[in-house]
Amino acid sequence: MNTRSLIRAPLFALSLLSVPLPVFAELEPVSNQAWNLAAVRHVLHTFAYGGFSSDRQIIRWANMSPQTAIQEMLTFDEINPKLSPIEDSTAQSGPFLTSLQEVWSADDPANPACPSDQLRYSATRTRNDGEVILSNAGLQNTWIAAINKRGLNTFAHHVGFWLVNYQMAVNTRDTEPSLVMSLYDQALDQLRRGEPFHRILANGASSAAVAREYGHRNNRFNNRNGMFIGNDDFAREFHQLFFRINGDTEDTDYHENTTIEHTAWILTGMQLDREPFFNGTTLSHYWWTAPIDFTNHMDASGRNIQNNRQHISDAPEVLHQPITGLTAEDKLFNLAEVAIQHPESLDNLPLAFIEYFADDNLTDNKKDKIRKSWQAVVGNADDFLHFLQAYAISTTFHDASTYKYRTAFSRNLTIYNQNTVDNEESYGNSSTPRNAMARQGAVAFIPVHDVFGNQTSLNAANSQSLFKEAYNNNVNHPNRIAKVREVCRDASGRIVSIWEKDWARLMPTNPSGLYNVKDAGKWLWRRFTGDSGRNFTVLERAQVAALLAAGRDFASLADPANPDRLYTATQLNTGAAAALLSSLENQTLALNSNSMERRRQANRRVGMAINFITMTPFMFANGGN
Amino acid sequence: MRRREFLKTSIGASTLLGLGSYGLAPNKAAAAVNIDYQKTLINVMLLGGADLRFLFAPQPGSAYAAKFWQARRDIYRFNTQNQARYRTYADVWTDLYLPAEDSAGNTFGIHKNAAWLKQQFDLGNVAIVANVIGSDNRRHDHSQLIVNSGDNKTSQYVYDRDGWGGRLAYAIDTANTVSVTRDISVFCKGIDPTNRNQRIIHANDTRNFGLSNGDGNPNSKSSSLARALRGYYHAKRRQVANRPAAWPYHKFLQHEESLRQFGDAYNARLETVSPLRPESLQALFTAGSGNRLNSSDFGLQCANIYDAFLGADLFQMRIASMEYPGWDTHNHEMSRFETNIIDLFGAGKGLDSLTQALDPLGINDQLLYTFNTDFGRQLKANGDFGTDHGCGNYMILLGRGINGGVYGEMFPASEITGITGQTRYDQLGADIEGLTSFDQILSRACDWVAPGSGFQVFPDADIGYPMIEAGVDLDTIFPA
Repeated sequence: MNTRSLIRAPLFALSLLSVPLPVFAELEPVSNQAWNLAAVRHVLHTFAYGGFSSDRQIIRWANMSPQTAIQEMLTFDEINPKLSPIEDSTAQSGPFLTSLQEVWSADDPANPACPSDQLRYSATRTRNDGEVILSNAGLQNTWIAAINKRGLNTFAHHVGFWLVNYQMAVNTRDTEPSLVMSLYDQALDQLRRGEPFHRILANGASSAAVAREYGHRNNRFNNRNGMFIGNDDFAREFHQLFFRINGDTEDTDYHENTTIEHTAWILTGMQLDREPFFNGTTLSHYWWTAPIDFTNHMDASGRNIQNNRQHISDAPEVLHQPITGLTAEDKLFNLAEVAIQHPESLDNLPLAFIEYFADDNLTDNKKDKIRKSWQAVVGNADDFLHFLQAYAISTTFHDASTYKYRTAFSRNLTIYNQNTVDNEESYGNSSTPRNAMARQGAVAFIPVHDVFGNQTSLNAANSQSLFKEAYNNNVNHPNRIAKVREVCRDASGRIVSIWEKDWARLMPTNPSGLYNVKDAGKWLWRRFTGDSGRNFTVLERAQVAALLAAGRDFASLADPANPDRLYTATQLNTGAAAALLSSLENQTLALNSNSMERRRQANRRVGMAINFITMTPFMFANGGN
Repeated sequence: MRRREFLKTSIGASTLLGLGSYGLAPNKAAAAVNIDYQKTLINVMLLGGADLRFLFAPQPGSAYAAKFWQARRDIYRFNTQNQARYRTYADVWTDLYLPAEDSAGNTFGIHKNAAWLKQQFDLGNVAIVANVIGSDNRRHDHSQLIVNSGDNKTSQYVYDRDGWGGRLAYAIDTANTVSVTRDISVFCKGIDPTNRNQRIIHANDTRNFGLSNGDGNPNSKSSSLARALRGYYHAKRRQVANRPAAWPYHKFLQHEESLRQFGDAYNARLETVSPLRPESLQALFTAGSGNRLNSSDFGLQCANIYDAFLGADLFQMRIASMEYPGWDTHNHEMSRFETNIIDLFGAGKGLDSLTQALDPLGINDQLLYTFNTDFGRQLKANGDFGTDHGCGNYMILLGRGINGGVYGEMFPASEITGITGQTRYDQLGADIEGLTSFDQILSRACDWVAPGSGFQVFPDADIGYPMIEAGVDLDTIFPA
């Protein structure tokens, strides 16, 4: 974790008063009546990969006013125990990926990760030729594990992921994972400190990760002859990607040859330092460090860095304003103040937020409200948080027309979280969705669309291939979700711990203390899909009940001689099929049996039902009912 | 018969010309395929804005070449080694470019890493249209949207819309678009707003196509889940048939149906006619093969195209979509461009291997490739050994059924006209001036695939004053 944002932010935080949800004026909150269990779950699934809140906590939130509840549900605080309860020491190791990676990869008895898993979190890896290099997988695995841990703020980490993978679209193919991790942690730190959104973007624009990715670390300005040497790649993307200013309202010549060209001049004097053998790496390619030191200085490798001398000393005009500042960083923060108030940014940026998180069906009416609500808070402390909070309880979000397709990230990580009973399982079960997501086109910190960001929900929804991969993953590898036990050993083969799946820790019992199949099916449906239950029709119920009660599909139970028979909803509601369904739903799951084998079997059947539920259409989208 | 016509109807070019090519293993099984192939268009999108002025270069010795070199030499001289190697433009020309000649006898260079393209040009199978414009903005996302939709008035950020490949599928009526890319491009999407995927087959992994029916053991968990899901999806479609067309969950029911419909039949076809991919195509994306492309994903796309043609009748395939990313060459353009272009057009590489593999199927005479990209790039090198975003560019069309050649002024004299220091090459941000609109070319390409479809796919091309460079007759590219 670098110290720059820690230095800037406290001063800033003191300078502005936090404004409590002024956006309600533009985004009408749902009524207390409409704010119910389903609405709470809808928010958690949309913004926090489902979160880890207990059923009791979800009921408490549903019973509060939405305005009060949302301020507990969605926060950028380091920890949010109501969203993600503290179970162990994990929260103390967070919230930053850098510190989590350090803890989880350490060869230390206090490390809760299984010794055989520790290498997967490591910041470095050793190639076949013996060279030690930085590890992309270490960053990806650390992030996935962070998303899956109780005690860490899943909402904040979701936003951090979006900022780095979509809004800033930094790619570890073009820049080092250590620089990306540094940028991620800085963004997380700025969010929790309540910095306005444009300063988070400005910090990203000033970062080593972005300077390395776009190559403007080599840009320089000769202040004697006024000559600029470099490229204008990020100069364009600063406006277009970061602030969504495309120049549509500007004179083309001015936009191209003044705004973009002069922004390129601002992006000078941004050379990165190098630290020989950084993190133990043996190849110089990996020695770049963050943050950028914008002064003239000699770096740890002995390079004479002239960042101040090679930066433009004048105040070039951009977006019709002279942009002052002694360094590129100063100027970028000042330019961000201008850019965030540009009409195109005010129009486009809030829509980009909502299109990513919540709505693939924005109408003009919704767009108008969203824009106005952003304009009501932009530039203030916690502007982004207040905007999202107000939106998350708005009639606009909870409208029947609002739906969101899930990316492979969203779908798989929500399944991962909801299928993880506690941190003991998170540490003890080595199966993670990383490979499945990759096969479905979703690799964290390697945006599939380069500067346009990672997989979009529309890409995911339109992809038959992704659907097929997801389908075949569940059908061909049911134990990935239905796994019930894993033994953790150290390098010598000694058993360190044994994890056993235990749904009884979370699943509610009926008044008799039993796990009724019908109730269990409904509970699982709501837990995984976030759906109110209205789509849990007789078709879904039949298969879920059969898998829970017997670990088999409904047709093979109804007629073992004809397992391929297809049952319609009408058939399931009448006659022998209906009777079978009723019988299955009245059975109980042996989750609290004294027999270990029966408990394992019951947990396995729950896993089978989850395999089915998560392959229904209702796990591929949210809302829209 | 002209020499070109003789050659273009002969065997694979690399084989004929004896240039280096990866050995094509016999593919007897595939020869058993008996499909009445129809004209098919394959669109290859070069993502990032390819600087085709690097692919095509002027011959040294002219005023134009002198200006070209003055403005762009940094692209070639990006390190001390190259500064020593390329002291003059003649050094570059000799080392990097293969001389080609247009019908008027003008010589220009095609980069040596595109040796197969050069062969095809010599055979008359390549049309290079100069001074083409699609998008007049310089933004990747909006420009890609324009080029993929074929609509230069399309609004930005609107990705849920039809593309020109999708419209062509509808214009043909009984056709589908096969996408072999990881994500389905807007290019493929159809005109039905409630189901843009209606006419799309997503075949990005043809040897892993279709939905699993379990592991073969009827009592296993895998088979139970397979039956549960198959029965459920079948019944669910009937249950929700009356839901509004815009109900978002229809999409996944459609996927299941489509994969179910094509999957088993297609897998059976592959098993029958080509249980293994041709080695030459497998090599394009296999580590250690000796011919893996720099982009193994593009290698896989080539193999997928081959496989898709084995089931072209099942798929009703008349359009296909490929893509190659990595053309945003703001820095170190030379090494990046050379890496990319050899994958596409190198002898024995991606498209050459694909063409050779397809020859026994008899499809090559019916194939037309169109190559599109976001935009062109600026004329002058930037300070990072690359080029920044521009607009105008070249468009490449490739197929045995077209009249190859150069259409338009390859290196416009207007770019070097003016007093010293004030030519187009000297102007801040100047690019190739767009004189021919992309839709004029692509609408004709559509007509070639399906007569009369061009103006359905590109209605704006049907105007009284089409934007075509003076003196250029695009109709001659596509013989009747």
